[in-house]
Amino acid sequence: MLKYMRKYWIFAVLAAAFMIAEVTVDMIQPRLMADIVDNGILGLNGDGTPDLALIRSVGIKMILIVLAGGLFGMLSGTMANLCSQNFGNTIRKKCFDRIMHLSFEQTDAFTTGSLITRVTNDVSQVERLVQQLVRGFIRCLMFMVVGTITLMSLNVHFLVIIACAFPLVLLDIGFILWKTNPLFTLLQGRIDGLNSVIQENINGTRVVKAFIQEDREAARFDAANTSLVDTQLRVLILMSFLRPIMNIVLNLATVALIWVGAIQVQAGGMQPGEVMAAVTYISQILNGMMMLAMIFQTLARGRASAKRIRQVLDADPVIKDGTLDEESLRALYADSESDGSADSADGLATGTAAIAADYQPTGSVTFKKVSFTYPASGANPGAPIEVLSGVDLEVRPGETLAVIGPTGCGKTSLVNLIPRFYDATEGTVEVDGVDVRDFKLQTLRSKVAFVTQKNELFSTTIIDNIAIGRPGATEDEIHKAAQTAQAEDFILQQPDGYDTAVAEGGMSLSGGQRQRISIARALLKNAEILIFDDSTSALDLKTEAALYQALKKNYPGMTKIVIAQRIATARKADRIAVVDSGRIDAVGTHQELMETSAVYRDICASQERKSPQKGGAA
Amino acid sequence: MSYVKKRFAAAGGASGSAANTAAPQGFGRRRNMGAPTEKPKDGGKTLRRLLSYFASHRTAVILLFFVVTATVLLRIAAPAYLSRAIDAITMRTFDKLPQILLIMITLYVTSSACNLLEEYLGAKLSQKIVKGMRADLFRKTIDLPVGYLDTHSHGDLISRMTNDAENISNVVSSSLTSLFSGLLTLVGTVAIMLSYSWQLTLLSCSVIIFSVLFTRFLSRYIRKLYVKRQCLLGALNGIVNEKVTNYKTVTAYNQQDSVVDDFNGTSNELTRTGILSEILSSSMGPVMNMLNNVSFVVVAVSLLSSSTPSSSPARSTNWRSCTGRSRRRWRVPSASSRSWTPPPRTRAARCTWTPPRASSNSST
Repeated sequence: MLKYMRKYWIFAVLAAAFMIAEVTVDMIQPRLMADIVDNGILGLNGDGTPDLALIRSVGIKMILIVLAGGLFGMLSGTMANLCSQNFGNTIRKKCFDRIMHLSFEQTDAFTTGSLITRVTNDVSQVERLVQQLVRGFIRCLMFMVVGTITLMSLNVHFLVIIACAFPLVLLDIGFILWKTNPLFTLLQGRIDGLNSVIQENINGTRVVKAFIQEDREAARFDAANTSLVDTQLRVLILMSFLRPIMNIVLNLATVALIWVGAIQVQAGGMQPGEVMAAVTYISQILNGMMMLAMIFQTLARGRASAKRIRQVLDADPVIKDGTLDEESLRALYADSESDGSADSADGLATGTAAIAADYQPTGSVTFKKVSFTYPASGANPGAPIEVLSGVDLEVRPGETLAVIGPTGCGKTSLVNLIPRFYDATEGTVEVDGVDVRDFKLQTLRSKVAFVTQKNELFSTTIIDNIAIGRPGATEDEIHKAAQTAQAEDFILQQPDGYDTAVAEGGMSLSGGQRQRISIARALLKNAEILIFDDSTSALDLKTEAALYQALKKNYPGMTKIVIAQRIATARKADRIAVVDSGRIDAVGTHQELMETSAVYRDICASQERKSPQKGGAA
Repeated sequence: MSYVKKRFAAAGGASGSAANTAAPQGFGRRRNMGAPTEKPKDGGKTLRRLLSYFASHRTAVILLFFVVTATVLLRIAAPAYLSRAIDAITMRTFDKLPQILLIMITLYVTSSACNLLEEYLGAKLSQKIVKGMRADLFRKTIDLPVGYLDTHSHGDLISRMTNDAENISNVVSSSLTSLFSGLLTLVGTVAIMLSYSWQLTLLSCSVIIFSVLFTRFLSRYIRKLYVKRQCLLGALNGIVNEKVTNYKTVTAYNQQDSVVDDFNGTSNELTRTGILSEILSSSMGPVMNMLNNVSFVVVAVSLLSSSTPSSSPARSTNWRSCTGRSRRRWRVPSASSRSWTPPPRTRAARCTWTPPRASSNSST
């Protein structure tokens, strides 16, 4: 993490330098003040009458020096801020960039609430740490070192007092830090917990209200809140011992100093004025120690946060980029078109040519002996269960394939493998005749338009939500996509039409409306392969039928993979794949499956029982 | 011209450079829904509400007040004995010393005990208040009509319950005790100053009033920056919340880079605001220090110009307390200090800074 500091170290050095200058002024200034008092006001060096001329000249000097000190102080603060906040900004950006490129299993493991805390709260803690280190550390070190040296130069006997006090203070700091250190990691974890409860409740407010779960949720929140406050209190109470104990030690050192000083004066080895000076220095050392205690407090918390940030920064995306990008594929394809052999592709590594030997950008998808197990994670503890096993399936270019099967049979997991949201545990998935792992992720994902099960809309306008599909699309293209998705009618009825703002998560729209906007977005992408993950479930049969008809007419070349719950949806497809407990049970048309697949017949029977009137009408 | 491009051009400004590139990104602009400036409509009401949290922990507040009073009194008393001890050494009355030192030890130990109690109570109080505040906020949030949540960034709401509540917690635990002790010290100092010279008090007070006015002027500006900063932090939270929640779509549409760009823009803005507000607020300390020291010289000069030379030494013995400096400073020895010979005893006693009570004793 320190490498991100490299760009800003100059600010840190300047901040420290200005801090040294400020402390120096702080140390000179009491001398001038003493000069004013002793020689000016009291006239101790002269005849005992005030010396106005001296007060004026020294006074002007003092004002100038104080102004310089103030300036140094401000400059030191400015530099420290430039250093710490720019450093914080760099980590924050790196952190978010990393989060955005993590694989799903990793984001799942971190949980959204924790990621939010890490990007904001933890980064602030680290910023504070850098700031304190750059300014405070130098300051208290100077006070302590200079104070100790001058103190000892006054009389070596004081060394004994310091030698006794120092270890006690260090012991105090050490003990408290040893006790609090583990608590800080726990504390940030508690913030995560609270964040998660709040986040779930706010994002899922409709569900909470619909099931009148407010009291239960308030109790859950209360538990998270209490455990956070308890942990914080434990830290604060431990910390509250730090200062008083230190105070006692250092104040007793003052008493001891006076005692030793008195003995020395009595013996004639010291002047009373030197005892007074010694008391000044020990209070300076005391100040330095206090600051040190504060810095250690920040250090402990900052370290816990830094560790959490490092966990994000060090997370290596599980899904690795391949090598084939659009350019190399295009060259390869053009070549193989012209002379019928991919091997002769000039200018391309032979490895690339070999990998992409069968490349045909037509939108075919092939599963070859694919097995898949969800990786164990925080969100998915316990023994891993195989979700897909030995799946063989071929989706032909341009065809519409429906995927049907009971809940939890692995339908979504199956399509998740196509754009590499996850990687198959065994076997290969091929798109356009090439293993998906050989594509660059961006290239692969540009070939696939995916409408997720949970319709994910962003808090911007409807048109911007659709435009995400293909940034740079024309208004006509957007309208065509919306019309095909059967979305234009209701969009135009919204208060601002296409410019109507969508609430976060699309909550201001109905389920069916959200689905249609998501579909419009996917259509706008105009990719080779279109995947609907149960994306028309909230539409009535009439709208759904119109949608598929328009789809066929307006986007004929696309390969369409449609996960469906309803037989009525599935039977419109060219072929239907029946998935049952992670295996492909059968593939065929509705008629074929009615004869060959018992699972399919079961699904049909259960749906007809549930809605006899619809079944009868069809 | 592409649709999005056109909209970018219309939006202008902020993402100007992005509009010139070939493919503007879908996430470029985040619609600012809800009120952009989060200024409390009624400052008095906000303060009353804040105070009501303290009121519900009345006993703890009162207890804390007593403990702080005790600590402040002890803190004032200890230096008095310290200067007595120094006086004893200067005047070579060493037999008095053990007794004075014993009293000092007692004072230090009790003041540390009070200090411990003070920090303990302060921590407890602050955490109780923050807990209550957060719980009320959460209850309010889940009881809000759905429409409110639809038009407000969820991440921002989360930020309020964690980041902003934590700020209040920090302020309560660190400032409540210092506010108490500061007020007590101020009242005490002003009373002591008045007992010496009302003219000097007036002069010192004018410095104080000037610094209060200056602080007010600066803090009004700083407050605005802080509000903006917390808002930006909320916006940042909002981006993380929304994009991580909808991560699948972000990934499916290759939007990671544009989302990161959006985040970086807000993050940079946050840093700019943060640096500005921190520079201003960290300048307050040095500026105050400067004012303080300048006032010292001004008071010293005016003291002499206003008083006749014959009466000045007696009065000026306590002039340091007239500058209202809370920090005690003894003479720092100059290079010649080693050869410094003790002046006549009475002078030496005056030379040390002594709190008023002690000074009347030592001058007898």
